[in-house]
Amino acid sequence: MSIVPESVEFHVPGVPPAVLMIFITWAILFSLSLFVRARLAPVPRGINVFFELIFDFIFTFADTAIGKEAHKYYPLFIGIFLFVLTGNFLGLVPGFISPTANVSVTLGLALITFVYYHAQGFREHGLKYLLQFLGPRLPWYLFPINMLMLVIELVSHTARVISLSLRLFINIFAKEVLLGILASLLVGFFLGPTLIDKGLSLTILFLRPLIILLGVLVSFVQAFIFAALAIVYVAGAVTESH
Amino acid sequence: MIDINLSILAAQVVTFLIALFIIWKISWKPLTEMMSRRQEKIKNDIEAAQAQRQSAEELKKTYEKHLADARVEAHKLVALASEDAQRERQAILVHGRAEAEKIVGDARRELEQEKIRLVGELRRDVSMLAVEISEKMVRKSIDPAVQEQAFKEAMDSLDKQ
Repeated sequence: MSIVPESVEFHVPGVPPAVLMIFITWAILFSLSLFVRARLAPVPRGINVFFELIFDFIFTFADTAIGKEAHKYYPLFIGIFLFVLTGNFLGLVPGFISPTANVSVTLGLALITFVYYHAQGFREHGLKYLLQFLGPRLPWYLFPINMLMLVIELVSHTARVISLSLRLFINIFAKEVLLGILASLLVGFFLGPTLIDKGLSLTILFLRPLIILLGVLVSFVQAFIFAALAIVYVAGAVTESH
Repeated sequence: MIDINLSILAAQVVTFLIALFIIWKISWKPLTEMMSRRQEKIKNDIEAAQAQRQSAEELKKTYEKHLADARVEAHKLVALASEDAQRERQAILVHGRAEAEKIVGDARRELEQEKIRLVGELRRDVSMLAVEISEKMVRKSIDPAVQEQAFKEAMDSLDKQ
C-alpha cells in the first residue's frame, strides 16, 4: 500500500504494507485484550473500564436492534468495531497506515459481514429466508411484482457490500492522503527557495494536529457506522419477515 | 482507479476470522461473561433491595397499625381510668360526707348528753342551793314535810324553766 508515504513508513520485505498493518492492528488488539483479561475484576479499573464501555456501547445497540438473541452475534459486531477503530487510529500514528485505507481490506470486512448475515438468516429461518427477497406476500396474479422485488433486493444486498467497503475505505483513505500531504509539505521548510516558502510550510505544524483530531472523530464515526450497519443487516436477516 | 488485491482480501478475511476467534475465546468472551454476571448481580441486588423495601414497608404498615391500635387501646384505658377515678372520687366524696356527718352527729350527741348532764348537775346544785337558802331563812320553823314540798315545787319550777 503506497498512499502518500510519510517520512517514515514500516516495510517488511515480501509482506504488503496493508497486510502488515492488519497484523499490527491485531497485535495491538491482542496485547490490549490480554492485558484486560489479566485485570478482569468485578469492579473494572483502568483500561478495562474503557473496554467495557466500548463493549457495552456495541452490545446495547445490538440488543436494541436485534432483541434478546443479540448475544449470539456479539463476537462479529465487537470484532468489526474494534478492528476498524484500531485500524483507523493506527493511521494517525506517524509511520503507520490504516489497514482500512485499503479497499481490499474493507471489502474483505464487508464480504464477511455479507456472508455472515445471510448465513444467520438461513440458520434462523431455513429456506424460508429466501422468501424475504420476494417482498410481501401478494395474490398469485401479482407475481411479477414479487419478481421485481427480488431483483431490487438482490441489487440492494449487493450494493450493501459495495457501500460498506467504499464508505470506510474512502473516508480513511482521504484522511490518510490529507495527513500524508501535510507531512510531505513540511519538507518545503528545508527545500523551500525563499523565506516565505519556508514560513508557509511551517503552518502545517499547526494544521496537522487539527487534521489528526478530525481523523480521530472520523475514525470513531466510521468504525461505529460499519458496526452499526452490520448489526442492522443481521437484525434484518434474523428478525424481519416480510 | 481502485484496485482490489485478492491476496490482501484473502489475507484480511482469514486473519480476521482466525484472530477474532482466538481473541474472543481468550479475552473478549470472559470479559463479556464478567459484564453479564455483573449485570445479573446488579439486577438481582436491585430486585432484592426492592423486595426488602416492600417487606419493610409492609412491616412499617403493620407497626403503624399496631401503633394505631395501641393508641386506641390507650385512649380507651385512659377513658376507663378516668371514669374509674371519677367514680372513686364520687365514692370518696360521698363516704367523706357521710363520715363528716357522722362525726358532726356524734359530736352533737355528745354535746347534747353533756348539756343534759350539765343541766342535771346544775339543777341539782341550784336546788341544793335553794334548799340551803330556804333552810337558812326559815331555820327550824318549817316542817320536814313542808320542806319536802317546797323542794319539789322548786324542782318543778326549774324543770319548767
